[in-house]
Amino acid sequence: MSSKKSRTLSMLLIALLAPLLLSGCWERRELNEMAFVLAMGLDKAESGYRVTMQVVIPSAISSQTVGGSGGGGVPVVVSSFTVPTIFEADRKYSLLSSRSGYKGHIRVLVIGEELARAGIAETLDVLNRSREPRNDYYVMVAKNTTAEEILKVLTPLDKLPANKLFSAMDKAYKESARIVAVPLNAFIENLIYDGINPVLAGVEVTGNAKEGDKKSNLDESVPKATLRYHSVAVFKRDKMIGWLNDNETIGYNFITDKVVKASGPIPGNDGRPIVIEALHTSTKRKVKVIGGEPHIYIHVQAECNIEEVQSGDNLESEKVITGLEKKTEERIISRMKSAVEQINEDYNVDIMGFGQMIYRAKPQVWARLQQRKGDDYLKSLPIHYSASVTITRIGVTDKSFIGDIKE
Amino acid sequence: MKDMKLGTLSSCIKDNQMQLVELLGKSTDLIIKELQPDQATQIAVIYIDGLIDTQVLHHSILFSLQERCTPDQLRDLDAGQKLELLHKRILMAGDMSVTHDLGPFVNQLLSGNVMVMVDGTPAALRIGLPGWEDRNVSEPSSQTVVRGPMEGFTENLRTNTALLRRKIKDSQLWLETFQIGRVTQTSVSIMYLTHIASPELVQEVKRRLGKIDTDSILESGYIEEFIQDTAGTPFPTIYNSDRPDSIAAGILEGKVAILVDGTPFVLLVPSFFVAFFQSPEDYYQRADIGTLLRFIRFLSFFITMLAPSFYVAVTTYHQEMIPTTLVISLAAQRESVPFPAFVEALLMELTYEILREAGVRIPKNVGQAISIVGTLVIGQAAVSAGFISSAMVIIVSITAISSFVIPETGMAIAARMIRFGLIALAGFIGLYGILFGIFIIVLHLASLRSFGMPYMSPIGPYKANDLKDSLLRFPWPRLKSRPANSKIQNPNRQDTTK
Repeated sequence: MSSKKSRTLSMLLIALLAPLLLSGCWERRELNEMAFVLAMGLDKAESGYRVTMQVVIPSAISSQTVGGSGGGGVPVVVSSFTVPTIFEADRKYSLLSSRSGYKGHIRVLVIGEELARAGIAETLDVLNRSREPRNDYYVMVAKNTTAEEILKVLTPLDKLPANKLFSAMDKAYKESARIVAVPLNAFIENLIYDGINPVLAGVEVTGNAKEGDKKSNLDESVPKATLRYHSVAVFKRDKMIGWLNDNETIGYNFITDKVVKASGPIPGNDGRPIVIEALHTSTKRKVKVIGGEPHIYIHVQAECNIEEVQSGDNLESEKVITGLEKKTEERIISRMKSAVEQINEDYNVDIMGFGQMIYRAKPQVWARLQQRKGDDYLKSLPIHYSASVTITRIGVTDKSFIGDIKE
Repeated sequence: MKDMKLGTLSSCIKDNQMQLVELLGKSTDLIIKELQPDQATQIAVIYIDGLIDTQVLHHSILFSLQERCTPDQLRDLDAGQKLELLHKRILMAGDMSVTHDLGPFVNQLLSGNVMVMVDGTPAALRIGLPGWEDRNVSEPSSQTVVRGPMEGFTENLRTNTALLRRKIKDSQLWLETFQIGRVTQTSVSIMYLTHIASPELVQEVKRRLGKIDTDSILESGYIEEFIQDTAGTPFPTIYNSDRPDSIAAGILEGKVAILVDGTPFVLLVPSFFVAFFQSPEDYYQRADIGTLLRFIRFLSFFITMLAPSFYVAVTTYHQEMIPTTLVISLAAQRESVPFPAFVEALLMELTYEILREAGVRIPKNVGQAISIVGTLVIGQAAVSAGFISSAMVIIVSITAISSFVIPETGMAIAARMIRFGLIALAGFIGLYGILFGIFIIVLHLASLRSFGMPYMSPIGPYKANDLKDSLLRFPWPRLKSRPANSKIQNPNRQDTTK
């Protein structure tokens, strides 16, 4: 009796579950039916936008291609469309491609300077809304050029230009502190938060941009056109308003605790440079309210190595090292100070996020500040810098051999 | 032949012989040797040629009947007394008894006994003298180890019980034997430690064995299917092994071993999921190695079950999960593959299963051919011909290799079967399908029982103490108690009074 019951039950369950399969595999896509969009470029067009898609040609990349000659040909194909809305580009792409575009593997999003200056919020919605992209790709601004130009350039070492841009960014911000690596979600967060404005890295073509899209660009030891990161774009809300130079960027990175490694020359006692590299740095930022006014305290802690010595200083001496530490501290402080001053003077936007710090620490103080000064609070904001630097290693030798060279 | 109603033996030896010859259809291996020590006495020695030890028969039984049975001794005795005389004084043999009925008589005759009859009495002497050709105790073939005993069970029940007795020299190791199978009359023995195994378990085993009604038991697999808790599962709920050491270990944990005459594979009940991932070697190597090996086996189980379906799901539904460089490389490999990944996976797994089956069935001297065809066909040619992608070959290979890591073949086969279901689910709805499948498998496993005990113990009903020897393997000094999951009477392995 009970076995009959359980049989009926299981039959019923199967009958209920079976229709699930009727929906089938509607979202199924085979790898060889997809066009992997590795990079997207957005530019301003006369009407609407110019969307550029850099699509990888897998067989040209892999040495393991089946039934064909692998490794030949250009690794990517670039298509551009002038469209009223960004999404429209996808539909236009399907008219010219045998495969449908897939944005799950976007590595970089390049925004033309012109569009950046005009404002980009509207264009980012579609990417933020789509469920395909992973949201951890980097966004950058094409300096003095269009995104289309940037995406056309072929790169020799890393065959996929998008990959090159991605990996170079990943390395550069860690090793030089002269760039900022901003993924899309971080950009959008900074865009919508109070008391902070976003920045983006700048990318430019050096050399002859016209030659960059030819395969011959890959055939020379000195490529005719090269992509490189340069300076940082400052945004006010979603509109770009200018560029930071290298020194300002380093200062900015110190303030925002984004420095992994940074290096710079410090003059020795004889005026010749000693290069010191910060290996581990961390920045502590605090807000204190003194007499109703918010004060920002920034403290940088850095552990450094000596990398290059051109001066004749005696590095064996404790005094010399302490002196260098002191000078390094001063240098870091001056970097931060001048960066803030320059930013104040040129743009008067709070890309450092001081306002946000105040808001998080003391919301009432922030409200009052906003009320009194609006967006101009930065200029009169008292900021106190301090730094503590320790030089832990001086390399495998002590005093430079330069002093021992016989005249 | 408990139910064979053939009546009792006749007192006339000729009648008995006639009836016997009739009964066995004049089978030519039935040998009846007639002896006449004196005028008044007729003795018949009856046996089946090939089932008994002829050497002993000649040197001991026939010798004593002809040389030691003198007319003087037989004088003035009636037939019954003569039989008694043979039994108690003359015959030189150990295993003897008296039979009165024809049914048991035939049965005993057919299981390697020599029957001796004296004319005039309706009884026969049974002399146990089995001596058929047997395989020697050799290395077990199904579960090999690097370190550990190298002896395996044989087809002979007696040898097998002896192998176990040699490992457990305890008076509490009890042995009971049943005859199962209407026609085959197979001896089935159960062995257990009476002071450890729970009486209910032993009772239950006996009950289930007693309920078996079939004409033949040719292998322990027959018994397994008759006594398992449920047939509706791909997972084995009864452990089998041809290694005396792993069966002895089971008996020491309070389990019951079921030995079947004619097969080296001995059953062990109850058996739990984790037991199928344990190799006796885990206990012979040091504990850390044992634990590592177990982890590798569980990992392999999941790889065998999931690798192809995971590949299908990820490449057809979740491309964003694959690292960019890998996805491009995979796309390049699939460039000229005509089938969807789902079909490709199914095709390759099927090809592999065919190859594997062929490898088992193929005569040994043709075996080389299949390895060449196998490697070339699914390895290289299929890829370069553009049938399949090389990534798929890697997936199938790792799946195949992993399935051999699981020590018990039953569990490996379960994983192989489930794999196909999961590939189908992955092909339909991607990772969601796989998750769905795993969910059902886990629910199913949790509902399984082996002889009334929860199959997933000690994970299912969580028993922290038993985890010491399930997923992990603690060092022996710390394994103080026997796993409590088989409801044993005496849980302590070590002397706790000290």
